[in-house]
Amino acid sequence: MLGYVATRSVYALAVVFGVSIAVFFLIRIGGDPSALFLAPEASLEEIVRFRHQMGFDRPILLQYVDFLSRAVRGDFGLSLRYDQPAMQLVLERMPATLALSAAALGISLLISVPLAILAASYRGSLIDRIGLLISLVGQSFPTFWLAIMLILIFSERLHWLPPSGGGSWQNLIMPALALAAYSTAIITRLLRSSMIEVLQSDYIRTARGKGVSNAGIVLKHALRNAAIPTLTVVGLQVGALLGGAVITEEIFAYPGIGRLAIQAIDNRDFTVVQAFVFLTAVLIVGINLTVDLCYGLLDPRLRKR
Amino acid sequence: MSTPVLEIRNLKTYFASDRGEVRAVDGVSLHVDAGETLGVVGESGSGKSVTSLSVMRLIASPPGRYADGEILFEGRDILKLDKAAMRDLRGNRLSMIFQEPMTSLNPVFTVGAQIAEAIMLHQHLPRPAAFARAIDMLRLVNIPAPERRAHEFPHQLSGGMRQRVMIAMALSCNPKLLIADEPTTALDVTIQAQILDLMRRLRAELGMAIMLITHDLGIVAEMCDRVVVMYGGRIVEEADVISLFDNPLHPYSEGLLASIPRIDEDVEQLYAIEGSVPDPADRSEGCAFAPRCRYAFERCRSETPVLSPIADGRKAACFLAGERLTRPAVEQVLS
Amino acid sequence: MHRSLYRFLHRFLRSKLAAFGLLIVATVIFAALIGAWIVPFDPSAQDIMERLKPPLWEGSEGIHLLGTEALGRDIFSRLVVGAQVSLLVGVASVVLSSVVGIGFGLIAGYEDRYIGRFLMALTDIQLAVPFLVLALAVVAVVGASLWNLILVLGLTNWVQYARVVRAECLVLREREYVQAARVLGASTPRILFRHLLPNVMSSVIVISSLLVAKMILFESALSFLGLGVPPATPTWGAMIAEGRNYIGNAWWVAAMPGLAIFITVIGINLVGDRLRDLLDPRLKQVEN
Repeated sequence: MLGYVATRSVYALAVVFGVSIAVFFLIRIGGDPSALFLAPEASLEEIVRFRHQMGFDRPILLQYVDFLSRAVRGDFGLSLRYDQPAMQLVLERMPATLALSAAALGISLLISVPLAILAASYRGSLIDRIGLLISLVGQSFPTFWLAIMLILIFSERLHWLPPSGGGSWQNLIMPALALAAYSTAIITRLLRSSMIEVLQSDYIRTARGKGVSNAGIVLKHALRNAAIPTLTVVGLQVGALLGGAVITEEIFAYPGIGRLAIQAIDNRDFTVVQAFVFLTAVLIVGINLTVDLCYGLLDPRLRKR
Repeated sequence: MSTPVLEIRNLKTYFASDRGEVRAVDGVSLHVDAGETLGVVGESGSGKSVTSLSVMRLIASPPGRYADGEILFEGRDILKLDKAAMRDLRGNRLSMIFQEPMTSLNPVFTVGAQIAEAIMLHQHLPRPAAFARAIDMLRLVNIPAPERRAHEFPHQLSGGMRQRVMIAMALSCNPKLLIADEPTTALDVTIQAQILDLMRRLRAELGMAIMLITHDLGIVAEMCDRVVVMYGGRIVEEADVISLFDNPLHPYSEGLLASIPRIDEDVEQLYAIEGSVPDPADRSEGCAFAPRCRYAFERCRSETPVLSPIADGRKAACFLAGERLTRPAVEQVLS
Repeated sequence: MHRSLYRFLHRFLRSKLAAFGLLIVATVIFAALIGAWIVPFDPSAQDIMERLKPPLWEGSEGIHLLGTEALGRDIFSRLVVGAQVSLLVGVASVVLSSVVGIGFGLIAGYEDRYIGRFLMALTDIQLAVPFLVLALAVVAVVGASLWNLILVLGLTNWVQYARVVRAECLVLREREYVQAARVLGASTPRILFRHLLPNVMSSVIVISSLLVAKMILFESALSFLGLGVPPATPTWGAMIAEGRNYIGNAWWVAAMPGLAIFITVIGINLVGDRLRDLLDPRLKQVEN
């Protein structure tokens, strides 16, 4: 088990290292990064000064080593617009985004897990059809459109919820709902199909042969086995949620890192973009690492000593 | 004569399929007396496994349904029991071990916990006591270091070990009847012998009746008192083991016997029954075995023979059974 | 070959939902191919007098089926023409990502040791960066254009191909016929393309069909954020972005293009689901 944790952790570190390379080259894909930061009408003199100030005139390897050594300390340079450390800006907005993603994931799980269990236990029934419908419809909406339609209905027409802003629980409801749709669909679908598969397995027959009740079969014997493949997808959904949060936050003017990132892109504030991409990636890698380790708890076959 | 532990009367278990209703079990009657071991033999597709699953009421419905018949366990028709009463029986006075030891245990629970679950359900013991009893059961089935093994997961055990665990689980509540569906088929020969030894010993110690489903007549000879031979969802012959091996009345039983390898005879080639099991969806007139039978004649193809008593304790579903009972021993040797 | 294709289509259409999905897809393709010539209005013709007219069933006495937008342009006509960009981007980016993903998957599955590990690490790096974030950043750096959009979408969505193809190759390469080919001295490319590739095609088809749907959603999201195709071409995502400003008094401007996306994506998903059921029941394991 300890070896497993160690291997996975080292691998996660390697992935973060890879991400750092990607983030470094992100602003250099088009050649000279100065062009990104500066307005098109900048004079040659300004460009030269800026290049030197940012170190863009040094050898690329040196630039990367410098970038990495600072990134490790969380230093991505100053935001050109806000004149604050880029990472600090991102970190300040982080809690709001985490709250939003957690609320969305919570809603997804609250709907999808019971729905998938019922659908798999009563195949072909009404509840199964509802589950299939939700899993089809939920992944066919554009998230941002769903968000706008929620604003139309709950803010413009019914005046129940504020259309934008952050800070209170009312501000969280609509973004969380919009964000939850896709994950709900994916998790429902996957958990349903793995439940169905597990319910047909030999060990479920054994449990029935022992006299275990239906509830015991489904909740104790089947769910834990079906949860194993589903957990990976839940882990991957965290990435999708954080990505989706970008656009959802923009629509609801919700003060999280997604909105910050879009503003940064608009303002050509690429140090903030770099800090944002890197931090998001670290977060996702961390969550997937946790998921991997949870596997060990759920599935004893992975718990090698 | 006391009531048998299990008596099946005219059981019909059908399955819905794309090609119409499949009569997997089509009018089976048999009984198992207290302490007795009944062998149920036949090729795959003969309906023997469906019969055993029917007794446990583990046929999924849909697609399966019990179209007709009664299954009397200790005198009560279990087809009429409600779900809760049926669950009370399963794993308790009526239990079963399955074909596939490799996949029949839940991978995420320790074997001890899986045995203890049945004990907690039926004997209402608290968890620690149930677990202690589970360890006793592991010891009973000759698992070395049972205290340690009880805390292990199925993937840490070999196939033979897992089947021992299955047996321990099935016997944990002292069943009156144990249904064993091909308990050794998936195991290699030496392990097979050990498991059979174990079952014989436990039968003697615990005094339960066994219904042993197998395709292997060698196992029947070793384990059983009586045998029913199934073919195409029906019983074609019922006899005590010695009579069946001595003089099989149904040509299908004869074919099965002839296909066992024997060490006492130097046979050039092993006998195999020509043809294959009939398609259970296909229900035409006549004896289901007729197309493969070397003795078949006109009547066999137009009329279905019924299982009828031929001699004391012997039944067969063959028009020739009467003649075959009295034929001289020489003729029984196959060419 | 023809007959088996015909038989497959027959089996495919046995599901009414799938037939419905195919009908939607066919309609969208039709709209994209020749819609521009048959639409009732010039999709870019502005008419200030006719601006923000509601759809006909809302009691408007006008002549615009789904109403008009802020510049008086006919929404229906713009939707029909907008199908072009959605489909083009959807299909082209899927082709690109399948080429990349299959290539990586084949190599990683066949040469499991170093290259394989390295390529799989790449997929993990890719997965660690939320797609939308990466695409946004890259488009912001390289600039928005149709081809950049296809490039970005194509190069950021190959992971699923790579993983599935690799997993299948790891199984396939142990098969006797592959072993035999190797013993007989077949070159690695030959084994990859002659023996492995044909066997992973059914999974590839299923992934592709479902990925087209996702790509259309992604494209609309980027267009919505103004990072898609330049504004001269009508796209569904950009139409929603425009309509968003009028959500209070002209809901249809934002709602209609969203419905168009929704219906298109549902159609493609229905087709993809049916293909999955028919071609590869195991594939449900690897979805995301």
